Amino acid sequence: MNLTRRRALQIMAASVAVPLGVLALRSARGLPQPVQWRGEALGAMSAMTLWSHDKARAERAIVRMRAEIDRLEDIFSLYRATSELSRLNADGRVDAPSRDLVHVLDQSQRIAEASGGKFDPTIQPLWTLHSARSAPDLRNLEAALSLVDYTAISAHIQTVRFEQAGMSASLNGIAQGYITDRVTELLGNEGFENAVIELGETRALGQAPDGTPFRVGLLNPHEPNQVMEHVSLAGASLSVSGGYGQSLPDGTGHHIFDPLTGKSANELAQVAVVAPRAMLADALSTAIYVAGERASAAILSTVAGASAILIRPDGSRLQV
Amino acid sequence: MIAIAENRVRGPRLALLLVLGVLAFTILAMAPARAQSDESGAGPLLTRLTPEVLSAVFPEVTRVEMVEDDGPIAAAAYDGETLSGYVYSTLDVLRAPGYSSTPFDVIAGVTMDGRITGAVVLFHREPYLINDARRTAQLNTFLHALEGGEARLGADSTLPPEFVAGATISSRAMRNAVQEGGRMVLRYRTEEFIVTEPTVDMINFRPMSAAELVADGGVAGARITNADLDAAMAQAGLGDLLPEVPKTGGPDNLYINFVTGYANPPRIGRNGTGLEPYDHLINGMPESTQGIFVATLGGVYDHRGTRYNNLSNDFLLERISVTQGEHTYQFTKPDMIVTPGKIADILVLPTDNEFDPMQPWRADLYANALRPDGSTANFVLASLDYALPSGYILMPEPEPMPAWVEPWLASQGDIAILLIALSVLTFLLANQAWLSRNRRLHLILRNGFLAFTLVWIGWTASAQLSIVHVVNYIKAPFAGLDLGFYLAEPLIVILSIYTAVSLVLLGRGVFCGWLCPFGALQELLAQISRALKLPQWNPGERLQRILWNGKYVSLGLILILVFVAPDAAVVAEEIEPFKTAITAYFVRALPYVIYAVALLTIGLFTERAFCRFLCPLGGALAILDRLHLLNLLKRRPECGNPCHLCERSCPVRAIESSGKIIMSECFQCLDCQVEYYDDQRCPPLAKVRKQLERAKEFGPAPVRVPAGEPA
Ligand code: SF4
Repeated sequence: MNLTRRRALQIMAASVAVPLGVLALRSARGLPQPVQWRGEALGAMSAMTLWSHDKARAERAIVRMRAEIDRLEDIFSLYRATSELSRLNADGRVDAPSRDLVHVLDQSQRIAEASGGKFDPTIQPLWTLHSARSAPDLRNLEAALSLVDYTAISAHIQTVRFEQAGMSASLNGIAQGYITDRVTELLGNEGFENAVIELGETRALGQAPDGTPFRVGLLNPHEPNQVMEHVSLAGASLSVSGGYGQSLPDGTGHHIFDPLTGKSANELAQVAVVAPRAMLADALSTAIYVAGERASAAILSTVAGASAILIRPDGSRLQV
Repeated sequence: MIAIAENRVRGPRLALLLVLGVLAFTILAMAPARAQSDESGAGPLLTRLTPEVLSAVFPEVTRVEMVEDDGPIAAAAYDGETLSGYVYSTLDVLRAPGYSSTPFDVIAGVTMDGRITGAVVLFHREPYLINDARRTAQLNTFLHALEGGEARLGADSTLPPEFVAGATISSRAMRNAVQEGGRMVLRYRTEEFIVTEPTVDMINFRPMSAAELVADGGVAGARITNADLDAAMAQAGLGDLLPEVPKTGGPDNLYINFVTGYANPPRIGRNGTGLEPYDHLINGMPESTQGIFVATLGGVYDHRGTRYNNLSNDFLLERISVTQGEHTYQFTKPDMIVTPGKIADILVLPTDNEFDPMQPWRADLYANALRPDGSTANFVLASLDYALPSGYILMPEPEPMPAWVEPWLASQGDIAILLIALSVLTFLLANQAWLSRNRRLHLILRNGFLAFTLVWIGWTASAQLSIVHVVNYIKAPFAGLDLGFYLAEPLIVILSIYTAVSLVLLGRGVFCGWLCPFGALQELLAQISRALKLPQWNPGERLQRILWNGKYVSLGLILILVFVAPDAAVVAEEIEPFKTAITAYFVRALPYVIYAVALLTIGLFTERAFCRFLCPLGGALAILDRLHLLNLLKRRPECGNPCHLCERSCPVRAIESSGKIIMSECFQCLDCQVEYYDDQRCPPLAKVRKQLERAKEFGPAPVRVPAGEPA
């Protein structure tokens, strides 16, 4: 084909016209509006906030995400006696488990390994021990500690089981992280660009519609009704570990234990971790909270792109 | 059935014992907690109930007053002088431990019918404090929403949402505590009834006049005038005789005003007869005794007569019978509970009857005519059909709708538009010969539909079918995704079904060529490009055959990644520019926008290049296209040899030089059919036309009609 000058100009003009049209279309739309849902997932107050030009579409997406959350609760919720995790804890094994359960157990073992056992998904016996109303005696503590062993989980697609009788897993944070990740990714997959998913852990999909990162307030561990600072979050997750959340009935401390000693960890007042995925952020923040300041850099280095803000008991702050 | 626990009136005390048992247990078990919370200074309820808290938990209440009884601690909430409900504290009522040893304290209000009016959280040691107004408000919304059954959708406020990360609180324990506390507070002080199946309403009562009862259907009435009497007698063939009870006045004068109804609901039985006769039916008879209420409100006649007093007559109340199904009930004097001073009775049904109050029944009112010989002839004066109105039936709480129903209800309008559009499309495809014969009509309807697909289906309703949906459907058996996950997108569901059916009938072209918004966008741009005479380039036949496989490659890539590397699959799905160009209106990150724009620009010179060579969804449909049952596109023997007109007219080059249409590449645009029917352009047809014209001019000549030509 012989390209005349006229032809070439025509082609160029047409090629420019398309992007111009697209630009016009883009600017014809205003800023997207937020649609928010508040409810409960895995027993915790939860929220999903999506920005969309089409409110009805966002609402339909939320309905679909609730269906997905419900499905995952049937796997991970300790509040549902028939959930896979409840059955695993009761019977020590689950045949034909869901891929989700295998995946989360597998991931939690990896992180346990990387954190040198400071994060351990089989911590539930310690929690059961401490939720009794009196302080545990030493013998019970040792018995419970012997049941905390992430290497004794065998997670395969045919069967998930504990290799030791009496073990039980609490995937609390990490399962919430997984659900947060699933929902965020499904929404991204549906073409949503801006959303904040708070299903036990916080994850930002994209950034705020104005192009800046989302700002998530971080509570002051000493004054928990005050926001201490804001963390910028864009396409990443934030997980906060602190002892103030749930104190123990026996009065010996709070709900985050050192899997190696069985005692509540107390070296840090609060750890906030930003990581690409909520499941990782949760595991990292728990592990650092337990392992303390010195191990924090090493633990963080296991996940690319992770950073942390540590608050010491005296209120001083350290960015890692 | 109905389970009533009127605690201090009568009936089984099981419920009360249960409540007390739970209470005692709770208090015992929580003894240490009580000590702790008392330490932490939770004062009496009224001191914690500041005006601020009260207005949050029970708006529209003017006054609260502690209830002085032995029940769960609560304050009665009054609006003026009427008792609206109760205010209570979960700490007092349940001493509920959450995760934490410190029992949280939620103050909440409950109305008399068990609706939570509001809840405020007062924590002692935990991070939620009343002076944190924003989060208290969030929690209130949350508790409200859950009390309504299901957290509803929607933005709480017009303010930009704020996010705070920190300790998660156990909403579950709190919600349960609020609900259980409300139930305990109410159960002690009100009747509680649980309806599990439609049940006659024995609970609600308010004074009602006979007229009101007739108006709402609680009783059925018949006003019978002298004229009606004459008519009834004539009907019975007794028109010549006189009634036993003589009428007075003219034809419009009242003979009897009779009413009847099911006596057991207090609104009917008690209003109809008064407290005493009604109480006799309900409490003075064996359990579950049923009665029929009958009354004469005026006229010279009445439903009783006098003969029911006579032993000789077996005390039979001969003027009334009640019929349900095959059973007819008659009553005698001992069956009557009479109302002193009124002609109103409750007729007690036999205890071993099969009478079902939920089913309709009929009451017949009889009268006698006097024969000349002094004997009497019985006839039906009036038949009253009766059915217990729904207002007298308690229905069990309806099962909450599954969440996916909401979008279907909310988008009824959109569903209607889509269904109309699909009907139009079905019509066009079914009548494609008619459509193709008129070039202008085809142009207008075809482009009109494409514009609709792009602007409405795509940009307005965001109903772009995509490979993501196909992947979800394929994954469903493995992922165990909830059905609601699929059903929550009504338009996508409808489009998927239509596409599947059309795929089996006609092939992939129906979706790709008519219902895909991105396809429509490309085709409309291409039409403009062609109108502007921009150069068009298409690969040669051999190269095109190779390029066609591109879409199967991208489909295969996505399908493999979905199962081996789901994260990468999400990236691979971005081969589709649909999200960018349609659902997000190009408001996306720059690389996506550049990609989509590039595809559109290529489309200007090579029509639907993306659809033909790259689209994974098109690939999936094209594979399944092999199954299609019908082929409506017309061909002639000359197609391909020697004629190549259609081949060149096909914008996507789906017609090979042999003249064969490759259906898996055809978009059902019907352009080739327009040529096929064009007797100016289609050479075989033009030849026939010319022969015919010549025949008209020069007389008949042998004509060969090409095969395939419709008569
Ligand atoms: S021109 Fe004919 S063969 Fe080509 S896409 Fe249209 S209908 Fe199919």
